Amino acid sequence: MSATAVIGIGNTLRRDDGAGVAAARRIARAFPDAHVIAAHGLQPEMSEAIAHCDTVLFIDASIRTSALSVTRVSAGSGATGSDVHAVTPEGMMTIAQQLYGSAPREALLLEIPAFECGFGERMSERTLRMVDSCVQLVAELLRGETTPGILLCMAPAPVHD
Amino acid sequence: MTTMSRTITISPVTRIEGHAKITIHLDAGGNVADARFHVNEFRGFEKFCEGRLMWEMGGITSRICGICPTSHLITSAKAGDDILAVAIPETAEKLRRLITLAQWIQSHALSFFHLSSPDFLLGFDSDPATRNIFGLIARDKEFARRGIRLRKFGQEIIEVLGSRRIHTPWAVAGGVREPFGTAQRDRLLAWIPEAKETAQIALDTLAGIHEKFARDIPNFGNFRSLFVGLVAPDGALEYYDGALRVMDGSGNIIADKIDIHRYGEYFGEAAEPWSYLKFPYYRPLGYPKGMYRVGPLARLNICDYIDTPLAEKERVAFKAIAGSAGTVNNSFYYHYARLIELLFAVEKAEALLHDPAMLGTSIRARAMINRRAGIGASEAPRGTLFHQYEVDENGVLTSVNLVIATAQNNLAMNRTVQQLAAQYIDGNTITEGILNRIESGIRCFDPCLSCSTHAAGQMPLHVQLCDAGGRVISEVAR
Repeated sequence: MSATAVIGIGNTLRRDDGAGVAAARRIARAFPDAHVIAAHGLQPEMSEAIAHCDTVLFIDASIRTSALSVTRVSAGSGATGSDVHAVTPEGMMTIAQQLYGSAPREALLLEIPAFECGFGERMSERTLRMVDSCVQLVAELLRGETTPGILLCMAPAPVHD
Repeated sequence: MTTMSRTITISPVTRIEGHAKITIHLDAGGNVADARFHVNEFRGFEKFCEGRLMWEMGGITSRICGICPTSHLITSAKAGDDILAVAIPETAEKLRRLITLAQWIQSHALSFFHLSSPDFLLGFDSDPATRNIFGLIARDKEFARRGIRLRKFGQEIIEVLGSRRIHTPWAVAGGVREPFGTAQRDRLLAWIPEAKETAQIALDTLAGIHEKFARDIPNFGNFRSLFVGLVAPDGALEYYDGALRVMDGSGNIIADKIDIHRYGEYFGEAAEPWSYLKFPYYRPLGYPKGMYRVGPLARLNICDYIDTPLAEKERVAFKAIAGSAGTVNNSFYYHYARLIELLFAVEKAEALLHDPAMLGTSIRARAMINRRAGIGASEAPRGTLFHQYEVDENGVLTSVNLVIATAQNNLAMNRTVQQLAAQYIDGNTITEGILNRIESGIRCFDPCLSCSTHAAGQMPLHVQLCDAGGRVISEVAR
C-alpha cells in the first residue's frame, strides 16, 4: 500500500497546459519510490492505483487561478462527466470508491496557473516558477515535513466571482 | 416542396473519439430525405509533416490520436522500413506485433465496455445523464471493473514496451528502440488468465444483448458493401502485415493478395464539401458505388480462419450469422467481431509472450535512405491504416499521405445514419432515445476522429429543426 499517490495531468504540446505533467515528472525523478503518474488526463484505469492510498494529489494546470492553489476533493462532490476522456478528480474518487470499496482519505487538487496555452513545449516563466513551488510543496509532503491540511492553508483555493 | 423541408442536427455526436455532427434532412411529408455524418474538425497532419525528417514521423504521427497512437507509430515505422529497404530483426517484428495486439486490447475494451455497454446494459432510452461509465458501474460493478482492468492490461503492455501508455516513440524505422526482459514478460503473463476470462464474459454478455435488442438490430446499418482488410499469406486473420483482400457483400473474394504498394491502384479518395473526412472507395466500382467497410466486421468476414482456438470457435459462430448471404452485413455485428478480436488478441499475446525470440537483443536494422518512397500498412483497431511517404536524398519528407480506417468507413457510416434515421424518424416524434440509436449506429464503427489534441470538454447532444431557409423552428439540448 502506497501512502501517497501523485497524478499530474496535462497536454505537454500546449505549453503551460503541461505544467501538471512537468511537476509529476520532476517529483518522480526526485522520489523514485513514490507512486507517481504523469498522463494527458485522468482515466478510469487509474482508479485502482489510488483506491488504497492514504492521500492522492492531483496536479493540473489552470487558467482560473493566478497563484498555486490547493482544493480538497471528495468522491461525488463534483460532476463526474459522461466523457471517459475527461474524468474529473471527483469522478476518480467516485470510481475508486465504487469499484474497489475504498478511496483515499485525503485528496487534493493542486492547480498551477497557466498563462500561455498555445502550441509549443516550452512553458512560460511564470508557470515554470509555479511548477517549482508545486514540486517543493509536494516534496515536503512526501518527506513528511507537512500535511495535506497545512497544504490547504498554505495555498488556498482561489476565490471566484 | 423544398420550402417545407426540415433539417435535424445532432452535434456533437457523443461517446466517439473526436468531434462530429449528424444532420437529418426531412422532406415536406416529414420523411427522411437524406442524412449525413459530418466531421467538422481539420488537423492538417499530412501537410505540416512535409519538410520534417522521415525519422521523426513515429514521434509526430503517434500524436495524431490519444486512442490509437500505437497504430500510427507502427505503421509509420513500417513506412520507414520501406524507405530504408530493410528487413527488420525477428525480435523487433515480434515486439511490434505484441504492441499492436496491445493496441487492439485497450481500444476494443474501451469501445465495448466504456462507450457502447452503457447503451446495451442501461438501454437506448435510459437517462443520458447516467448512460455512461458511471451508470455502468452503478448497474454492474464487477462487469465495469473487469472492463476497466482489461483496458489497463492493454495499456500496461504498451507502457512496458514503450515506457509510456500513449504517444510512445518506441518503434522506429528499422525496428524498435528497446528490447524486452524476462521480468517484463512475466509481469504481463500474469494478466493473461484474467484478460481471457473477461473477454469471454464480454462475449457472453453480448450474446444476451443480441437477444435483448433483436427488434433494433436489423436496422443498424444492414446493407451489402465490400469488405477490405489485410490477411496473412495463408488467409488467417492478420493484424500487423499481410496483403489486401477485397470481398463483396455476398462473400465472394473479388481481389486478393494485393501488395500494399498497389493500394492506390485499387482505392481512391473522394471529397465532399460538407465534411473534412475524405471518402475512400474501391476504384473498380467508382464513387460512391465502391463503398467498403474495414475494421473488425470486415476482418472477420474476409479471413479464412483465426489461428487461436477460442477466437476461432467464436469466428465459426459469427460466420453462421451470415448464412446464405455469405458475409455478415449488419454493422451492429461490429461489436461481436470486435470482441472476437479482443479474445484473439489476448490469446495471441499469450503465445507471443511465451516465444523465446521475444527476448532477443537484436532489435534494429540501420540503413541510409535507399528508396525515395515507402508505404506502411497495418490493421489498426478500426481498420486498415496506410502511411505513404516520399522523401528526398536526406530523408526530408516531400509528401505524406495517411489513409485512416475511419475515413474508409465514411461512406458506410453515412449509409448507416440514413438507414437508422429512415427507420426511426417520422418527422413528428423525435425522442432522445431515437437520437441515441442514430448515434449508436455510428458507434458500431467506433470512429476515431483524432481526439487527442483537442479539449473535448462537455459533449452535449444538440438537436435543431430548421426550415428550408435555415430558420430554427425547434430546438432540443441534452
